[in-house]
Amino acid sequence: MSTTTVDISGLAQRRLALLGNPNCGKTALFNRLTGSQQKVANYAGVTVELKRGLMKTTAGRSVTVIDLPGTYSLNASSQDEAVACAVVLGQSLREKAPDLTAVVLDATRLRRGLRLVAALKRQGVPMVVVLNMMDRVRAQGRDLGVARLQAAMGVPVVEATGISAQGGDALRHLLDRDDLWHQARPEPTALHLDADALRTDDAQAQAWLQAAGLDQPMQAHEWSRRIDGWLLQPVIGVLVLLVLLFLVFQAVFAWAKWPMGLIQVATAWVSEGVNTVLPVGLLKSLLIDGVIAGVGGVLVFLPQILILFFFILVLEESGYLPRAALLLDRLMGSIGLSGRAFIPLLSSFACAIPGIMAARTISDRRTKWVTVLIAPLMTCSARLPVYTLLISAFIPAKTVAGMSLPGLVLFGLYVMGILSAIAVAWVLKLWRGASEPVQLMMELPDYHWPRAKDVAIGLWQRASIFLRNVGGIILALTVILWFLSTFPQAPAGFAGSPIEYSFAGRIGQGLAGFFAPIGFNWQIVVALIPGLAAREVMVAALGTVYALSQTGDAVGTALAPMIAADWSLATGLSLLIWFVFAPQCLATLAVVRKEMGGWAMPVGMAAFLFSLAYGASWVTYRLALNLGGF
Amino acid sequence: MNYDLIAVMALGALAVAFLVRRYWQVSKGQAPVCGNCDNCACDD
Repeated sequence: MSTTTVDISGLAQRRLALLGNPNCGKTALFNRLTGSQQKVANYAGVTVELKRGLMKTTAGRSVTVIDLPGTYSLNASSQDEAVACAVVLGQSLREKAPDLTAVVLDATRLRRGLRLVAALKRQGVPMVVVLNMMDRVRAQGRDLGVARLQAAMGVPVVEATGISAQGGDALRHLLDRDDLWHQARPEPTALHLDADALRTDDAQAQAWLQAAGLDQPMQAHEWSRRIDGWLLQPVIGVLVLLVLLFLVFQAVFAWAKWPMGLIQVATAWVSEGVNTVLPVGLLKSLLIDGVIAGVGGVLVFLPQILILFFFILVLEESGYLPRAALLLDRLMGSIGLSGRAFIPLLSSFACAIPGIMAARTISDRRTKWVTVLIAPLMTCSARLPVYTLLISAFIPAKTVAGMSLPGLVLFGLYVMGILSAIAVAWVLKLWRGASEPVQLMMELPDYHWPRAKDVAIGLWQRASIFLRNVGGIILALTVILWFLSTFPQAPAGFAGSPIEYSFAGRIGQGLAGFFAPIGFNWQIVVALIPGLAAREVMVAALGTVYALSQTGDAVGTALAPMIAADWSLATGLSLLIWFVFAPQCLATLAVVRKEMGGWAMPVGMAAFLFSLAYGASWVTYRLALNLGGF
Repeated sequence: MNYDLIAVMALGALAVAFLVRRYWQVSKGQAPVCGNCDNCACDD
């Protein structure tokens, strides 16, 4: 009799939840077990939602793994912690209770992890304990005596190293034990979370450590402490932070030159090829003026985005970023925010959307509200193409005191975003008052060298996000904009450029009056509209609009020289400032609605930030005109 | 037949279909609102 093997991996019935303190390496272990590539970083609060994946045990059984946000106790103080606690306690209305919970402990910080184990044990939650980051324990020449710890707790314990290839093997093997999956889950009872219960859990954790002979705390890495002696000093630390950021922006311009040149050459080559092969007509115009001028115009900024993210990933991986949060905590407090707002604001440098979602870790409603409001003022990566286009068009590529002037201006724009966010938060504090100050409690991980593989994965993810955008939304909007800029076609003898007769030209000219006081011409107005889908679409749209506006010898000229010739310096600066403030991203507003539970916040936020952008651009334009920026 | 016009109309229709499909997926919760990555937009 023949047997047929049916893959039921997608129907895994057994459900394993990964729970643990923030920054104990849950997501690295999740990635190791499931083969996923979720974002990991060397600081707390990266995971704010639950993630699911499938893993195989050593015997080949499928298990659904649920990666939960980190929590220190079952007494949730923020939205993300509440999600984690509700799932493991079987109280979630949206997620079925897991059959088993793997409590992941940072093996170098056992006591606080064991408090969570004690609380879960008190509630009767079926679990196993995973001692993660064992590589660091072994590097210090220590033996944790897993058998003794297991005997003391009465719970299966395994060692793991989330970042190494075989780091999850012991857990895979353990999960083949059938008895673990058939433990009775007690009926949900009221949680005892008073101070007495917390003290009991702490005493229990200490008792387990004593029983296992592990009651001597592990010392932080000696050189981590030495580095912190300098980097956490209020003055030197902030200076180092500023110098680091400054160097990053210098590198973004200096290192990206040749790969950008390469992409430009490739784009010109493709354009030339299409020009040679196709006869004059609509299709040729769509491909050259629409697709190549638009998409190619954005693609060229990929090297700069990757260089920026290379530095961000290295700083993340090294453990420096939580130190930066600590340095800025006092400043945050003085503007009515807590250090907890730092990670959401930092995430917003990549994209405001994960930043706004990370604001779930903030328990105080008012602080969360202000953080969400100012998150779009952090300079997201989508602004980079717009900034570099305008900088290369209007700022001479000179060296000032050994520093690249374009890099200096880019650094200034990032600083302006941060300062404007601080100013808005400060004004709101004066107007609405501040909440009770919340002490920042954040673990400082040891410094370690970034792993090349993690950095490479992070860069690959950024590149694929950018290329997916270019090949998807930007390409589609560019094609549609080409239609709007081409039809209806101008009659013979029409005096102006044909695009002025088109739908887009008429829309742009209709709205131009409103934007004239801030120096925007109708071409900019046309490009701003699709730019609402994503900021970088603005560059593609400008590429298409200007390609269609050119005649004769000017056709095929790169975008930067074209706008430099067509706009005044005052207009260029005004548009730069517009992009510092304007919420040119509908997706961000949609996420604000989801996170804040209604339209009032996103509508008010859009009105406020657009007004701010208009006002700041008007001041910039007038100042530049009066100072001779024609 | 004006094949040139047919070709650009077909490409335009594809672009519109892409945007409509994406809007539909987002409104049904089958795709992240920003359309970017899975890091910040699971089905929670």
